[in-house]
Order: sequence, then C-alpha cells, then structure tokens
Amino acid sequence: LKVFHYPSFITQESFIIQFQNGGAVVKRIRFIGFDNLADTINELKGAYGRISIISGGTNFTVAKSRRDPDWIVDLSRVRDLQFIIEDDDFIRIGAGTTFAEIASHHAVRTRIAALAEAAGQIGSAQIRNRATIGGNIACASPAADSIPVLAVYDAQIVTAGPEGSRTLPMREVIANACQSTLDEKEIIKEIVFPVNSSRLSAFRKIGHRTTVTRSRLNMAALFEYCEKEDTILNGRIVLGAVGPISVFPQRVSDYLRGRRVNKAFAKELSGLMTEIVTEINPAAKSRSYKVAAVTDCDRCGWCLDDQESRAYKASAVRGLVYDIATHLFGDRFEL
Amino acid sequence: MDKKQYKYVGKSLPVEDGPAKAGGRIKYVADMTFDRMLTAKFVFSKVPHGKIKNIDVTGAAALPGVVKIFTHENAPGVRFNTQNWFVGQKNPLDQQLFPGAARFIGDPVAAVVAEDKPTAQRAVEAIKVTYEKLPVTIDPEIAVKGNVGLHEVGNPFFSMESGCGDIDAVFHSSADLIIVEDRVETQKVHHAAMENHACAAVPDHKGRITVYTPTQVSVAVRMLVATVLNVPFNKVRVIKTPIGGAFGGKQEVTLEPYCAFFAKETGRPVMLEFDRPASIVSTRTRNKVIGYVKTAVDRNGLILARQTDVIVDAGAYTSNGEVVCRAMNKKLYRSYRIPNQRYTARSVHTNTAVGGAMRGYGNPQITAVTEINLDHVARRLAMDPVELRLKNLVRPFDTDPLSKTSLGNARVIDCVRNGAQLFGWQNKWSRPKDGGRWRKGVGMACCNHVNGYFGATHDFGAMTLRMLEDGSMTLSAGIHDLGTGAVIAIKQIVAEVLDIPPQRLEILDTDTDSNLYDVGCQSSRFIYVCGANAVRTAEKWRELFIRESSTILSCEPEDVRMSEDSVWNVHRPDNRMTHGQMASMVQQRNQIELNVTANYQAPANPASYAANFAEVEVDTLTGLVKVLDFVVVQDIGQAINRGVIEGQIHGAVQMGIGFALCEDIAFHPRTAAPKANYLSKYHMVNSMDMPPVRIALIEEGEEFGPFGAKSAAEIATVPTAAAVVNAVNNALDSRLSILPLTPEKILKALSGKAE
Repeated sequence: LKVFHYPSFITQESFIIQFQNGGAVVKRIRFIGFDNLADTINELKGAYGRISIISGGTNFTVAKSRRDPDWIVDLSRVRDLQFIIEDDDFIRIGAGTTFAEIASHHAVRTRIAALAEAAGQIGSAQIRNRATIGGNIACASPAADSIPVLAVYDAQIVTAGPEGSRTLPMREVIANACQSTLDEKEIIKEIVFPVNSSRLSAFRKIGHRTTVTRSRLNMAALFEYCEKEDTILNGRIVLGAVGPISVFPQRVSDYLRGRRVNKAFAKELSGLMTEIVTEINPAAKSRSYKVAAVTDCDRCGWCLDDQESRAYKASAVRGLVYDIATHLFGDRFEL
Repeated sequence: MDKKQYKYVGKSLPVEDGPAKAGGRIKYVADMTFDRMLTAKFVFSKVPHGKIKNIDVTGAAALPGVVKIFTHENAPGVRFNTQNWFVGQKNPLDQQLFPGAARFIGDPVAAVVAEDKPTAQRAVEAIKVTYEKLPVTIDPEIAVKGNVGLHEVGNPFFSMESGCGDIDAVFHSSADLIIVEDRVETQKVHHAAMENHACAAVPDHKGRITVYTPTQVSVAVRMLVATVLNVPFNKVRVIKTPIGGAFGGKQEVTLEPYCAFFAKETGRPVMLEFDRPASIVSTRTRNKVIGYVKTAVDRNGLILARQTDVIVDAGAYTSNGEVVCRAMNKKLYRSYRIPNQRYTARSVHTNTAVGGAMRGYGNPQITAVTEINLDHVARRLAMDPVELRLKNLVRPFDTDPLSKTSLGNARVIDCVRNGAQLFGWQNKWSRPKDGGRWRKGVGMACCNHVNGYFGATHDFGAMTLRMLEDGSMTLSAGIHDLGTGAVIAIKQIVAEVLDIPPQRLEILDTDTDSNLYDVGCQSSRFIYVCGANAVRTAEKWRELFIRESSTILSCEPEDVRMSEDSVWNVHRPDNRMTHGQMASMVQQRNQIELNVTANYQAPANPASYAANFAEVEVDTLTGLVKVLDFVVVQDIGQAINRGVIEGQIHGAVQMGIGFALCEDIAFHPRTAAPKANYLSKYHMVNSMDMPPVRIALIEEGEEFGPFGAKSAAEIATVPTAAAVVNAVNNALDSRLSILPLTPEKILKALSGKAE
C-alpha cells in the first residue's frame, strides 16, 4: 500500500493505489481527519464498511487488520480530546492525550502517580510521543499498561458517537483480549479519575527487558493510607497480563482493609498474590483464546503462555509487590 | 615486534557507507527494482514432518497475476548443500529446492511467482498442501538414539573423535584428582541482522543470470546457482549488494538458487524477499549443542585430562552439521595446555530449523560447554577462576597438539591478566556475598579462534590494484563487507603501504564478472588473509610503478622517490610529477597499464584470543539479570581500524548476553512449532539494558598478518555467554547450565535451592 496523499485538512477521500492481480487498482479510502470532535462524529455517521478509528496510530501502523479499511477516522488532530483538567475531586484526561504528556504532567505525577508511572514505561519514547490513553483502552490488549491503573482507580470512561454520549466504569469497557465493548463508531472522549489526597498509588511491570518491553506481568496498586497509624485503611490491586482481561482480586482488598504496614507486610501480600496468580485459570476463558487468535493479539505473547510461564508469573509477582511496597512505604520489609 | 607509528593503520577512520546507511540512502537488494520484475513468495510447511501427498494449486493458479507456481513436481531435483562453498566439498547433499517431504515447520514446499506482492500472497494462501504425517523428533538426545531418521542416512548422521594423550590413564588413576562433570545445553538463536534475507535474479538474452544478493561468499553463490540450474559457471554472475548485517547468516546460499531458478524459468527478473519469521525459521540458526564435559585437575588446579562429548542438533538438513563438529574440535586444543583430551561429536537431524554458520561457528557453544565447566572446577577447588585459568593457559608459540602447528603469538595470558586488572576482578571476586533480594556475581571466560582455513582447506584470493591516469586507484577483489569495515580496513592497509591518502583508493563492489577468485568473508579470514593479500598486492604494484616511472624519469628504479602526492628522480628533486601525471605518461609513453594482480595463499593459521569479564546482579524475586559491568580484552596482533574493532566488540557483547540470558527460537515440545518467530517474541538485549563495555586490545603482532594483525570480530562474541553464565552462577551459588538463563529457569533454580 502506498498512500499518495494525506489530506492536510478535514475529511475527504484519499486514493490508495494497490498493486494487485497484475495491475494497479485505485481504491478509495475515506479519511476523516477533523480537528474537532463534533465534525468528526457528524462525518462518522455516514461511514460504513470497515472503519478504523485511530489516535496515535501506533498499533494501526503495524497491525495486520489495517489491510483494506474503507474508512480511517484519525483522531490525532482532534484538539478537544487533548487535555488534562484537575479539580479537587477529579482529574479528567482527554482520550487523545499522549502518554508522554501524561507521564510528565505535574497533576498526574502527584495525584495519580500510578498512571504517570505506567505512562512513562509504555513502549519507547517515540511510541509515547504518539500513543494515546484512549487508544490504549480501545485496543484492549491484555498486556496494556494503562488499563490496570484505570481499573484500580475505578476510572470512568466517557464516550461519544453518533448514538450519543455515555459514561461507563472501566471494568465494563474491556470485553475480552483485544476486544472492547464499545460500538464500532463510539469514540472514547475522556477518562475521569477520582482523586483523593490520602491515596497512594504505584504501577510496576515485568517485561523481557527493562525498557521498550511489553508487560509479561504488571500491577497497579492503590492504597488509602493513614501515616500516623502506619496502616492501610483500604486498598486495591489490579494485575495485568495474566489473562484476557485484567484481574481485580477481591481477596486482596479484604486483606488490605485496616492492614498495618509492618515488616512482614510485603511477604504476606506476595504470598497472597502468588496464590491468586496460581489460581487464575486461562483455560476457563478458552473461547476468548479463539477470539484472540483472529485479531492482532497473536503477537503479544501471553496467549501462548504455557504452564512454565504461568508458574513464573506466580513467583515473579512477588517482585512487583516488593517493588511497590518499598516504593510507597520505604525499604523496611523482610524477604 | 617493534611498535611502529603508522599513518593510517590503527586509526579509527569512519566506514564510508555509514552515512548512507544511517540516512536511508543506500540501496539494499530489497530496495532495487528491475524492469518487469516479478515477486516470489514461498509456501512453508505447517507440519514438522510429512510426506507431501498432494499440493493443490488450482485456486492459486487461477488468480490473475500469478505467473508460475513451483513445487517438487516441476522443480529440479538436484541435491545440494547450502554450506558447500567449493567444488567437490564433501558435505552430504540432502537439500532440494522443493523436497518431496517436509522436514520442519518452515520448510519451503512450494513457491508462487506473481506480478506483485499482494497477488503472490493471496496465491500462497490459496495453495493447499496435504501431508502424510511422519514421526517427529525435536529433542537431539532422543534423536541420537536413532529411532527416527529424517534422511536415509539416519541418526546420528555423523560422528567423529579426536584426542591427545591418554585420558583413561588419568581418569582411572588412583591419584588424588578432582573430577568435575557438567552437562551444558545451548539453544538455537537467530542472527537478527537488520536486513532480512532477500535476493534478486535477472536473466538476459544470452542465457546468463545475474544474481544480486547480500552474500558473504559470492563464489559459493555462483557455484550453487550454476549447479542447481545445471549451467556452466560463466552463465552466472553474482553481484554482492550492500549488506545490512550478516553474522554468518548470509554465508550459506539459501535464497539464491530459488530466485535464479524462477528467473530462468519465467525469463523475467524475480525478487525474493523473506520477512522476519521466514528469516528466523527458514534460513539458518546457530546449531543447538548439548555438551557433556568431564575435567580432571590436581589439587593445585593443573588440568590433567578432559573429555568432551557433544551432540549437535543440525536441524532438518545437514548444512554445516558435520563441519561445525570439526570447528568445535579445533577450539578445544588451543586455549589450555591439557595433556590428555578426548572429544567425540555426534550430529543429528531433528524436525527443527536448520543450523548453519553463525558468528563463532560452534565456538560460542563449545566455549560455553568448557568454560562453564571450568568455573565449576574452580569452585570445587575453592580457587579463584582467574588463577585456575592462568595456571593452564597456553603460552606464545605453543604447539597445537592436534595439528602440530604453532599457535603463533598466543597472548591469552595477557588478555586474562589485563582484563582482571581493568575489571577490578580481585576486589569484586573476594567481596562478601549479598544475602538480600539482589545478588551480585562476577564471572569470566576466555577462548581462542581461528584465522582462516589454512590447515583445513585452500585459503587464498587474488586481488587487482590499478592506478588510473589521473592518479586515482581502484582495487578489485572478492571483498564482502558485511558492515564489518572490510572496505575501510583494506583502504587503510593499501594507503599505509603506498603512503597515499585512503580516499584516493576505491574498492570496487564484489562482482564475480570483474573480480577474481576469493574464498569470501568467512572463517575469520578477512584481515589475516585478505589483509595480507592487500599488503602483497600494494607492494607488487609499487614495484611496477617505480619501474615504469624510472623510464619516464630516465633514472634507475632505485633512484625513484615517491611521496603522498608526487614522484621524482632523487637526483632531480625539483622536477616532480604528480601520480596522475606519471600514470598518464606511463600509459602514453610506455604503453603499460599500471595494473597488478597478486595471488596470496594463507601460510599459517595462528589463534586469536579473547577474555571477557562480567558483573551481574540477579533479582531473586523476578529472576531478571542485569549485567552491570563488562570488560573485553582481545589479542588481535594489531588493530587496523580501532573504532571498527570496538564497534564489533560492543555488538558481540550484545549478542553474547542475549545468547546467555534471553534469545531462544525454542520449539514447542508437542507441535514442534517455533515459539519465537517474530522479534516481538524473540527477546534481544536492547541498548538500555547493555552494560558499559570496557575494551583493551593486546597488540603484540602476529607473523604474516598485515602489519601484525589477526582476526578480531567473530571471536568477540565467543566467550561472552560463558562469562555471563559464570557470573550468574557465582551470584546465586548455582550450577545453571541450560542456556538461555531465562527468569523462569533462575527462579526454578532458586526455589529448588530453597527446598
């Protein structure tokens, strides 16, 4: 495929010359590339066939599914999707905000630390300059780094589309590996994080490398912590890359409620996390494996997890627990 | 050898195609187009072992734009071996373009030649192959039992033995010995050159085929293409294209016979380009090796005897499955003074990707086997592994007990001593062990490597040097610069001999029509053999130039003086001519071309040496290993281009750490499917995880090498994995010996210890 003309303004058609069957065929690809959401949605109403909504385009450019789209809806220039707004109780992040912007934003770093940490570890610097939080959610990769953070914060996802706008909690957005519950023409508009000054959060991941690496296992933690009592009042942990969708174990929340952060804290919590990872049965979602196989996520690795790797994750999760505990509460835990 | 100040030799002159490569302006073969060019695509076997019952091409053939489909039914059945590079070389001929039975997942069973890529892709997807399933074996230790054969010869298809002294006398003696045994396993890895495998072939009206290919050995391409097409050698022209990395992966002739055959059959230019999965699975890999090693030492750490038995997993076809056994054999006798040794090797076929040449050619594997074992010996002796090695390493001009030839100026002891000092070994080694989550460890390893083929096969080349009538010069030879700096090295050598600026010389691109025979860029022979050839050629050329100049200057040859830019009669120093003026006068008056061709035969095969030192930190909770510090010392005789050598070493360390810790194509135990056929699943060390690499070069000169130089680049990756594994074992007090040491294996070992 060679794109001969990328429209510098608004919509319209682009001509793609495909070489096939021994001759050149001109194929029309409709391109929506407005700088505002209202026009985008308006134009999207009339779209049909294979519609690819892209934001940073970092997955789209390497995905097999980019073959033959009839419509490409490019959100990368939609200005009203690019913002970070904070008030006392919420931080709202536009879906078109790049991870580079999120990672370096002062309010995010201080009030949603886990998100800043996740955003700063996604892909490479070049990817983070293009990839957006909305795109990360919509692609719904089991190894996505932002999704466990959104889940642990119970963030609200606000969408817009020809059918109107709606708000849904993060856990209702991901249907399966690489599958969201959003309609074909539904666009993620913004993510709303409830924030609260007594909360501590952190994100850590394990990949095959230290940087520029896909998560084999990641973890987001959120604690309501009373410093005076050195006690966690309430806490949640979400694990990613252990199944088709991220895992939010209630048992961990129960364990964390009113938990004193003593020397044994990290050890106990890692024991519990090891149990939880061991119990996750990927075979229970066997149908989703088939779904995964026909989309692009056959490259992400976890679908091919064998037992060896699962045993590894059950053990290595301890590393994430110690990382997070040490990061938030200091280096004071027994091994 | 006297330390001499050179004008060009040893200097870090930049490689000349660097800016064009970095700037995307260089044309690799896949960037080339030819008038009416067709595209070829392969159908690869999806079964690990099966006799082809039927190939249904009807759907594919009916697609408009499909020009021709090839299978075993309409392709020549000529048998060949892609490893062969000279006529009559005795490697088993067990490959065919399209075999009647598929022997691994990724074996080419058919090909489509079409007008364009999408059509070829659709046609490939439309071809239905049915197989009669045959028994599958992927485990070399099972294969060696001989129950399943992939070829008529059965398994093991090759075995050999070598030895010196009498090991049995040592092992069975009642002396106070320490005997340490190990089983070390190395995996199949991918070269991971940035440029995937690709090739183009263009037929002409005379029935000749021109093959454009990023090859390391153009004469081998010519031989194999001519053999498969059954045409005389002079009907095949091979043009080496710019190479985006090879590491041995482009030493074997994998794509070219197909592409040339398609071009011949269709009468049109054909491009054959592999994607990454095909490059990983369907070209060549590093041979998997399982080594059993047993070393006997006395209480003082003197090595008395060693037995090394290896099983080589050649994969589905023999390729270098015999040769690599011999290559490993040689290395065992050239690092340490071991009076009694025995080596046995058995090579097997398995239903996995085919092994072949890769940087070090068996040496990283055999060095892992023996050097990991040697650290275990040191531990049993409670001896510093550096001290143990220093007691046993060879000395300069020792004799190789197998070939009875000299090792040359073998400076491995200097490598180990200097390296230990640079690394701060003493402090790091004697530091108390950490007990917490992160544990540091240090390890080292050393090795030898060859300088060409002398002693095994013919090893020579012919080189032609000319001066044109403006004083500029060209050099023509089979120089295959793989990104190794071969071109700039030759320029520096010729410039040093003739005292001319290197930029006055153009090295012509390798083209079998215009350059003479050369064995090619393989077996670490380039600097030692081709570099020496450049010295000889330049010296002969200077003789010619001076002789011809003397008649122009009306003086005796001994009165002719040359400087960087002029030539004159010593008695008439005011009357100087430029080289260009002289060259055109020689043409016009003497009617002589200033052209010299020299043949050069390698006279020896000394050893190069290297020592690596690694410091690692292991996270005992996640099993991840970070390499903190790395020191490399190499005995290279003399650096021709220091910057290029340092670049080679940095890359080699990256390869070696990947070999030790994370790179593994790995085949699924049940399905025999390759697990890591994309770079997203094939994990290599990236720049952020690289340690600082500190380098020292031992430059004590090697006889016959150009300005004393010997091989440096291939050896650089040989000891790295062993050093890293030794460091991990030192950190964890473990005996991990199955490469790569993935986080899984490390955690398993730790949990085993805890129990």
